[in-house]
Amino acid sequence: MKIKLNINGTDYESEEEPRMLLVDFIRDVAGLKGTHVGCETGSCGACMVLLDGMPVKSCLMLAVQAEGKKIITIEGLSEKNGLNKVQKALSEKKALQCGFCAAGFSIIGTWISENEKNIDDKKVKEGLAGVVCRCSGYDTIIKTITEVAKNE
Amino acid sequence: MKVPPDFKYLRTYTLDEYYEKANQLSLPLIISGGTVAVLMLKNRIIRPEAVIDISQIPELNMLKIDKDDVFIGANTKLYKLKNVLPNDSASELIVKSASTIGDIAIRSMGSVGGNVCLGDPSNDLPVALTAIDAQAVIGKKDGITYTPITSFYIKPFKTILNKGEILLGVNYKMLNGYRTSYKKHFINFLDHYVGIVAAIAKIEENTIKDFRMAMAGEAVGKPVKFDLSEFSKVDEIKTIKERLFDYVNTIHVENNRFGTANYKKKVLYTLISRAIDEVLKF
Repeated sequence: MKIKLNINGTDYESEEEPRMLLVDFIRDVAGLKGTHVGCETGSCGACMVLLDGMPVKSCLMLAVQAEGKKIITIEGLSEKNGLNKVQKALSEKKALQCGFCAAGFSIIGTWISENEKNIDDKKVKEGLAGVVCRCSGYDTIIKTITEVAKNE
Repeated sequence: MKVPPDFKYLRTYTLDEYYEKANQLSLPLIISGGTVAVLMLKNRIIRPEAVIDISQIPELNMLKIDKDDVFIGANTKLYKLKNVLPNDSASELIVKSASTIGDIAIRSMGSVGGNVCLGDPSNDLPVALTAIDAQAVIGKKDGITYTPITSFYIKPFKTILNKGEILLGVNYKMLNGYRTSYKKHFINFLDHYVGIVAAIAKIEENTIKDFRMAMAGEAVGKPVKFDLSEFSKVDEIKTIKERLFDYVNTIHVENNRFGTANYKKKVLYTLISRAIDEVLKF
């Protein structure tokens, strides 16, 4: 079947099987490799993208389910003059180590900073609960995202 | 890389279209958000002939409030509940329960219907809905039926929904001036919850005007509603706890990889005790 998705403002159309996962469409059809495939069970958050402005795990969704919605991947977070505030802060504070979880933390960090009110550590921790960092650098990640969100 | 088995994908836009397609197929998989369903497909736990996507059916996206009656459409996303439900105590218990499901990226995909229909003992909404005496609103080709949520589950992963039927949503009465408590205990994140307890009580001058409580979780199986009508005084807390502990002792709890029966019962005692303290103690 023909699957037509809008990713980072660009339309992609491809003949695919309905069983194709959203994460595979993003990586293999759109060629956007910043969204990673991690645990494949919805626990690690490496495949997180924004779907109509809400964070979702693209390994738990069929590509066909995302038709008619706007998808933003980590590549789409970047602004004209480079990285967005969360990406820039994560980079400057050296919050990410191996970087495998970068897509997850950048996506959810951006969502938290733009949507959560009265930010504190607890809210940020709750928001980040769906992303796993196996380098265990949570402390700096939480501090960095809290700082950016408080300044929004 | 986990790839789901091959299936036909059918998107439905109206209930009539759903009934027609669902009645033609032998064992279709119904998806709204798809979080758990897609995971089950990827793990090849299910191999349906077809997947019917119901997320575009307008009747399932509705929230209706009529006097003290609330109807939540099956497609309502879990993250939306805290913003759209009224400010009463029954809704508060539902929001408390929904806010403990997974993380925001799961709640933004997962739907009320999915959480209610799967029948997994670890699901949260069934316990809260059982405590507030909610009803399942079931649609079929020739009409709508209302079933108490307590009768909706036959056994774990098995509901009363028949071929061609669909959960349109859940319906409950608003409750005002109640205290609520929602407790659960898990072993592995996003895996199995040993026990889940939901409680709601109205107290006036040391008298229990109304007290409802339900429990579920891996230890229990399908949700269980307690009969607490005989208790009227808050100073009976000790007796209430003892009665419920006695009840827990009568149910069959299995020793398995999630823990021994003894451990699971102790978890239930603790959750029950904490929930009772939270709603009855001043």
